[in-house]
Amino acid sequence: MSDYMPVGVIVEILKRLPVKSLLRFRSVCKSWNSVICDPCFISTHLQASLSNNTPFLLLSYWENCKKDYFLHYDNDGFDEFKQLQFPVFVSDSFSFVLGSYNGLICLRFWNGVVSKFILWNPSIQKYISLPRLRISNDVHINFGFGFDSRANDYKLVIIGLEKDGAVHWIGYQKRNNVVFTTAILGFYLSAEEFFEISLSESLFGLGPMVLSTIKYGESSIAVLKRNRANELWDLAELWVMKEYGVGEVLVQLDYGKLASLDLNFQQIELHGVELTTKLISLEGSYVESLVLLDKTVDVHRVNL
Amino acid sequence: MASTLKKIILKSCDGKILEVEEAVAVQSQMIKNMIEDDCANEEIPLPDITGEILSMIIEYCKMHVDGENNSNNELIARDADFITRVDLNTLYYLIVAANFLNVKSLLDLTCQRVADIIKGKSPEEIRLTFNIKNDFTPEEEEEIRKKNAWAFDYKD
Repeated sequence: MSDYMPVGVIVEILKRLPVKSLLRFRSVCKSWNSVICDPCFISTHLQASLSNNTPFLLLSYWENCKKDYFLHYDNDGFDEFKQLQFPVFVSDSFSFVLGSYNGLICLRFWNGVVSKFILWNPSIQKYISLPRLRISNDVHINFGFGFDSRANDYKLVIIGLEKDGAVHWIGYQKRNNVVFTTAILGFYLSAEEFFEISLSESLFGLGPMVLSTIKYGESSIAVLKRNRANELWDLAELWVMKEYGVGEVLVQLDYGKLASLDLNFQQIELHGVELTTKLISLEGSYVESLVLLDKTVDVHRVNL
Repeated sequence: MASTLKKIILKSCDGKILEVEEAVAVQSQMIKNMIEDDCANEEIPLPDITGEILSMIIEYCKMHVDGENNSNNELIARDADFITRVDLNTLYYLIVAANFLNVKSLLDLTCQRVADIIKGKSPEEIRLTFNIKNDFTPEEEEEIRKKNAWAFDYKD
């Protein structure tokens, strides 16, 4: 290839490349470097990745009192892509993933008193630390992480799942010292207002540890109900919003087996992968992006 | 039916004249706009596109018009067959022409093909491929490479 290449055409090619290739190609020449680090290109590349790539599944494994996070391909073999090695280690703290959005993962490190939060892009190995927070030791406190497209900024809401500029939690009411579920509680990130989505009747009145919300891709939110029989979680029910705000599909799943659900046909396909050795949960989805590349923060070199 | 038989006349930069059915020509958004603005009655000169490249683009557009009723998988297979026959140098001219004529599906196909070819390459290979001059000082290049050192591990 020779001659002069218009910038628009270079962008058309570069937006289709994986993040790792783009980081390498920053050293091709000055104009490629400035294209790749430009906020507009970062956003163009993100949109292309979201529409062309199937997101990775972000899973957590509980083992030996430790929670490890893995990215898996969303394919029939459910192959492992890589383990996420957090960029920082905070001694005497529990570390959790609070959410994943646009390739950014929000981490919380909690030592029982103080919480430290980090916004981390594992694909470019960059993170920024948020101010330390002192939060009362209450198990019902929840966190939501998402993107406010109007302000073009990421927001961490402390009180979750993000979809269409809102974060979502299971809402609880406390009556006569008993906590029970009522609805999905949402919070619009731009307007900073709360709203409610009704849950299916079969999910009413349950305790706080039984239900959890799951976000998949950019378009779907589900509620997972765990039924505890004996000492083992053996059966789970999944309540899926077929359209945003309208939940209508309720399916039962055997615990410890990998299955996928076709929303159009309401069919469950079992993949024959047994997950019984560890306690696994789906934390969300993940897509590689360049978000944070334009921010002047330290690069922390860690092996993914 | 009459409109589909109407011919559009295209003239390449090396003087080749090609008559194209309107249904095929309107795969180009640029030509479609010209027809809508009633500017396509005379031959349309295409100053930066050679006859060889123009013939390939017409072949591609014709394939898509003829294949309208085919399944998506069949079209993907035909696209793949079309694009793998093209060398990198020709790809470059196809991209520039698809960009100028605004044939979106061809621009997607050609750019994706280039991305697939170059994604595993080193910066030096990229400069050779695109004939790009390295305008970094050795110090600047060293610094930028250091920042992204792990991306030079070519494992995946």
